[in-house]
This record gives sequence, C-alpha cells and structure tokens, in this order.
Amino acid sequence: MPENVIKVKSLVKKYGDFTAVNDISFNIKKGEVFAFLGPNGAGKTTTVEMMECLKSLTAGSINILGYDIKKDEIEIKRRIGVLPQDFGVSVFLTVYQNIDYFAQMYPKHVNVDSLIKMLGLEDKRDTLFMYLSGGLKQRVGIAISLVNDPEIIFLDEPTTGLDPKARRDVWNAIKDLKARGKTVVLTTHYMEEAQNLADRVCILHNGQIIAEGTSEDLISRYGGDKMLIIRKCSDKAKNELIKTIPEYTIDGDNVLVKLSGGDDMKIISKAASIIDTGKSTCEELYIKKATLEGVFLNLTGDKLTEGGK
Amino acid sequence: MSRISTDLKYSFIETFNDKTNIAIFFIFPTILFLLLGNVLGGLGSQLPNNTASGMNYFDFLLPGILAIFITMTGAQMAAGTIVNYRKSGVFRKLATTPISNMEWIAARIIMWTVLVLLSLAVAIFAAWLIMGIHPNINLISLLLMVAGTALFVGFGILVANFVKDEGAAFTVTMGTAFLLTLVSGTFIPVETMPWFLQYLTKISPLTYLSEGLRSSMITGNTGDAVTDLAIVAGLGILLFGVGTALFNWKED
Repeated sequence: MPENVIKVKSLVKKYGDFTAVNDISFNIKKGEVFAFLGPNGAGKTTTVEMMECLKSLTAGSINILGYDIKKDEIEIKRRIGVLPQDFGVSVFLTVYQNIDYFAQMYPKHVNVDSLIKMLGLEDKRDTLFMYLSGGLKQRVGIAISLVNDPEIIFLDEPTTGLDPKARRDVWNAIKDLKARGKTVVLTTHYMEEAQNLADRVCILHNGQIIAEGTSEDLISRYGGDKMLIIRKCSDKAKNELIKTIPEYTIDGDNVLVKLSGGDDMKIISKAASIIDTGKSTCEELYIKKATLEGVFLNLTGDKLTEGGK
Repeated sequence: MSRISTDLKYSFIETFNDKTNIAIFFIFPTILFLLLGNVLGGLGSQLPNNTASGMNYFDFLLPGILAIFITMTGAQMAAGTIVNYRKSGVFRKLATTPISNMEWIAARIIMWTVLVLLSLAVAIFAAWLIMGIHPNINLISLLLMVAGTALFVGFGILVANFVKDEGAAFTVTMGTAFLLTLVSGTFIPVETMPWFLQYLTKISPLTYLSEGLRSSMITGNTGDAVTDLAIVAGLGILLFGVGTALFNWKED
C-alpha cells in the first residue's frame, strides 16, 4: 500500500470572523492524483495554499514528506512544485529564460531544455512569455513547477479560462506526470476534470469536506440514478411514452425517465419502440449517467459549477 | 549561480527586453536634463546675483536635476515593480520557491542602483557633449548618488506596501517627488525662499541629497558634502529598513 506523502489534520484557516477552512483532515498517497472539487469559495485554494507555504495555518497541522510545515518550510519548498492560481512570470523574458530563472532558485534542478521538450514547448523556447496563448502559458507554468524535479506537484485550477484544446493539452501533461510516478494535488471546479484525472476526489463545501473517495465510489454512493432522456418529442409521442413508462418527468418537449436498475433495458426498449413507429416522433434518446455534479447536488443542494442554488 | 545573482541577471534582461525602458532610463533623463538646463539655466542667467555663493545658475541647477532624477526613478522603479509583481502573481509564484523576499530585495536594490547610475551617466555625458558642463564626479558624489538611490528605493518599497495598483504607486511617488522638489532648494537657493518654506527644506531628504551633490560636485565643500552624505545614508537605512521590514510576499 503506498505511503501517505501528505498528512493533514484538523486544518483551520480563519480571516477575522470568517472561517475559510473548517477543521478538515485527509491524507494523500504517493503517486496518486488527488483532486479538490468544489465551487468557488469552497475553500479549495485556501487549503492548497496552506500546503504550498503561501498561507499560514490558523490551527491544525500539515506534514509533507515527513516535514512539518510550521518548522521545515524551506525543506518542503525544495521538494514540492507549485502552479498557483493566477501565477505570474516576467512577460519580458522568453520561455527558456523564465524557466531557467525559477530553476536557478533551487540548489538542484533539472535541465531546462529537457523540460521544454517534455512540455512540447520547443517551438516557443525563445518567444517572449507575453506572446504566448493561454494554454501555452499554463504549460510554461507546469514546466516551472517541475524545475526542481519535485515529488509532489500542486496545480491550482490549471485549466480555468482555457479553451477545450488547451484544456486537453494540460490534462495530457497531468496524465504524463502521473505516469512518471509523481503525486499530483489538483484543485478544480470542473466535474469532468476531476472525474477524468483524479484517483481520489475530495469534495469541499463551505470549508468542509463533504465527501472523499474515488469518482466511481462517490457516484455510486451519492450520485443518484441514471436518467433516460428522450428529447424534442411530439405531443403524440409524449402521450404514448407517459402511458407506457413509469416514473417519468416532463420537461417541455422532453421526457425524462429515472433508471434505477432492474427493468432499465425494458424501459429503454419500450421507449425506442414507441418513437420508432413512424407516427410518434422524438429527435433524440440517450442515457445520462450520474456524475460528480450530481453527487455535489445531492449532498448540498447547490450546483457545483455555479457555486450556488 | 546564487539566487541573488540569478535575479540580478534576469532583471537586467527583463528591463532591456522592454524597449520602453530604454526611453525611460536613457532618453527621458537626457531630455529632462537638457530641457531643464536650457529653460531654467536661461531664466537663471537673466537674474542678477542669482545665488548667494556667486556660482553660475546652471552649476547650481545641475546637482538638483540629478537629485530629482534619483528621487523619481528610484521611488517609481521600486514601487512600480513591486506593485506590478504583486498584482500579476509573480510574488505568488516566487513565494513557493526557496528564494526569500530579502534575497529578492537585495538583488533588486543592486539592479535599481546600477540602472539609476547608468542613466545618470548617459544624461551627464549628453549634457557635457551638448552644453559643455564639466561636473566634478568624485567618490563622495558617487556615494551620495548610491545612498540617494537606496533612500528613494526604500521610500518606493514603503509606498508599495500600502498601494494596490501601479497607477496609485505612480501618483504617490511622483506626487511626493514633485512636492519635495518644491521644498528642497533644488531650483531656488534655500536662502531666497520664504521663511516657512526654509523650515520645510530642513525635513526634506531631497534637500540633503541636492545640497550634498552641489557641495561635492560644484563648490568642492567636502565637509558639508560628507555631512549631507551621512544624513542621506542614515535616512536611507531608516526608510529602507522600514520598507523591507513591512515587505512580505505571503498572502495572509
């Protein structure tokens, strides 16, 4: 069983009377991708910023790779790599110069050109940072977080604001880090990101952990039922469907059917036969699986992506 | 390579990669020097017995212009850079690495001082070439320039601790520099000022910087220059100490 490389116990962060992180405890194992998932204001960034030595702890303890964060900050900084949210580098230095600048901050660092190659930045090596696209800037940020060959890498909202292609590029870079045996701590408010990348997900809400486990585990425990969605149905089709199928919900032209196991295939088959008669028409039929979004909704009553009801 | 020398190296590259800095550090001071020298020097020459010591008005003006430039550039560079780095997240990233904020400040004070001295050298060279001025640059005047830069860089760091954006940093540093210029005997000899302004000149650090430069470069009064150097250095240590003590790139 892999060892715990991060041990967090009874962690609290307060700003005056406001409690941003409220007595949370968790462990992170070596080599896993561990994601903090939650809406804006849930306490994800505050939690990781305490682990990144960016913020002090109000109470509790953080132990990283055997070092106590209150006593051994420098030792921890040498062993971790960090891509903070809204990080900045010099816009008037090139990609190589920026990475080399941060590499020289550590007593031991990897070869800068090998990092540039690893992140696929060879073509942009001598381009000023200011001329890079958002996705390329994030990749430079990831390269900088790897300059000291860290054992643990913290990536705080690494894909926020990126277009889908750039997001995929960053996801591939994260998968590559995992393949190299690195421990990755990720914060995100994108459900699909956590589901795609993380071995374990920790869902935060109002500064507290409300669920923790693998995506599959959380979905099966809290995600609710699968749903058969039959879209854009004619009135005739709708009437046929609601006569035949139990536990339906009408949403405009759409018919939603809860699938809770057992007779699922029969229900799907009935629905397909009704809309296949040629007289009753619907435009589309598909099954919507339960997701982490549903987990969050079921646990809090809030929407994950919008951070509110 | 140490962290300080790395920051030093890349801060110079960063400065010269931004072409507007060439204008700010080399073209602007030269123009300012020649413009003020021509306008104010011309005006001064029309005044009879324009200084108590009997020195030429342009001689009187030269150290004042140098002092103003040190004040504006030192304070604005420090405050502008710190506010920009804080706002753009550079400090946020640096704070996760082993470099300390004191190492960073140490590197930057060297860089800013060298940059101010370089731009002063270019401006003095232009003044010599075009206007035939021969200022007596000696060890004390050089030390005064270094101490003056440290003093106003310290002031800039102090300002950066309290302002949120570059616009505010610019307004505060330039506004202060302008006010100090009026009450420091930079353009007008202190003894010719109204009595209440003469009191204000005594608490303005720019007075000691321009008087010190005047004594060391023009009148050759070494004793006065050394006293002014001690005052500027003392104020520099105080402001720099307070500014750096308050300077923290953690985000608590």
